[in-house]
Amino acid sequence: MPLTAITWERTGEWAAALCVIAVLTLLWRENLLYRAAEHLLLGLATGFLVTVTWFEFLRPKWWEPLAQSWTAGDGGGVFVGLLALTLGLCWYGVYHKKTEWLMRLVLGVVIGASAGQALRNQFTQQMPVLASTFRSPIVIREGGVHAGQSLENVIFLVAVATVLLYFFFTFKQDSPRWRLIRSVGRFWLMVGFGAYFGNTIMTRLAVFIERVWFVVNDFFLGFTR
Amino acid sequence: MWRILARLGNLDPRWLYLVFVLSIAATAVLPIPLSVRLSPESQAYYETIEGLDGRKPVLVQADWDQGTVGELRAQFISTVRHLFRKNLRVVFVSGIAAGPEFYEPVVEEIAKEYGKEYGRDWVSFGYKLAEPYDIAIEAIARDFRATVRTDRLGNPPQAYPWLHDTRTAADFALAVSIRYDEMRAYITYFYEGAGTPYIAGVATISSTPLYPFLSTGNIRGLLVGSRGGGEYEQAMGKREFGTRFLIGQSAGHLIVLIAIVLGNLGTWAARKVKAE
Repeated sequence: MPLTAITWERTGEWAAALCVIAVLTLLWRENLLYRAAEHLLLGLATGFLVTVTWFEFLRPKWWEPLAQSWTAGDGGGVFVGLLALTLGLCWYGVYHKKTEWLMRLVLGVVIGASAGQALRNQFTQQMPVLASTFRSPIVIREGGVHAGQSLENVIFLVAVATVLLYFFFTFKQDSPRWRLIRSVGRFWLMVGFGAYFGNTIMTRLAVFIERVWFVVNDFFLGFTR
Repeated sequence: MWRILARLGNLDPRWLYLVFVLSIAATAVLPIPLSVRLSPESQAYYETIEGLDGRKPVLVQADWDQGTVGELRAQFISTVRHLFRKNLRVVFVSGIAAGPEFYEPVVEEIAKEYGKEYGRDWVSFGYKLAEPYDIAIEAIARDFRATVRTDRLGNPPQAYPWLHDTRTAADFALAVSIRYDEMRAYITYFYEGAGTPYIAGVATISSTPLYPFLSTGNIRGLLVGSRGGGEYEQAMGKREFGTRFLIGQSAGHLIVLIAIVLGNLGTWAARKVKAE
């Protein structure tokens, strides 16, 4: 079987595969190879993000409009550009006790805007979900009771009611009846947490599988391509 | 017998890692046939795109990178294929810095497959949605041109005739996001604000709390992780990365299940040995 020709692309793939293997060595135990790969990733990611932030955001949205306004003698444009710079620099006030208030100033604006949006989101996103909770336990379709849908709605309503009651703390709940309701509520909570946990494992596995495949296909089998 | 079983409870987890690596590596090279059907949420996703008439462009936010390529790449490929097959014009944006590096080569490849041209059928504005995302989506919904400014060639949106009248969320036929989690701001600013439907492709880990939004119609369709990608791929008549990935995923899940059973058996046996 002939060995593959060495190209820049192929060299990059090998470097990536070696980094993956270095990171996976953590499964064996903590070691220098893993640490080196971790620091390499952090350095590369930071450098990449800084470059992209300048070329995709700061240059087209701030520097170029400011420079154009300056050249055209547009005082308003220059003022807006310098105001944005001043407000942006206020964030760095956090690094000194005497200038901390500057950061709080811009933070207040951001929190205010986010709170306003969160309030709107409550109505547009959560209210329809809340309204859809009010389901009929008996579903009539084509002149008759739809047994499957009715059963689904009954289970749904029992789950919602018992979970809500589980978090009801305003009076003592130590009678046998309350204990039963709380147990049912806890059961549905466990079902929910189980779904979350299963989905979490699935995503983590997907990341792992893709990397193992990359090492097998592009590194080990790649030598023969 | 019980003593051997009891040792399973204290097994070094590195043996489990080794089994994982070997079995998943085997699925990378062994061809195993696997067929899946569209789940209701994937079906809704498919039908939403199928129902578009092509009068307005579609906005696709592609936020997958090396960390999510396993779960989201197949979803993205099938979505773009479906959009191009339907002769829909597509606007691509990203909310992560590395996004364009990943999605642009894939789109170019699919565009060749369907005879689509950059500028005529699709356009990429790159990384234009920075955090906080709610504000970025609100901005693109209110003033698309001012938010994206220029595409990868340095042209403004109005340089393309089919984007000449695209100014707000109402001027898009559909908003699609393919990323680790959903982008709920599309519900607020596209669906509720402008009546533009929203569909999402997400990693499995983010899918659990989204089903209520699916039942209310706020999210019209949903692709869930590698399963959604594999299903959609097969619905598009292909059996590629997404289908193969499901085989690896199934092998991984099987090992997890076997490990849970053996671990519990080991604990149970250990108790029995101790009692004796």
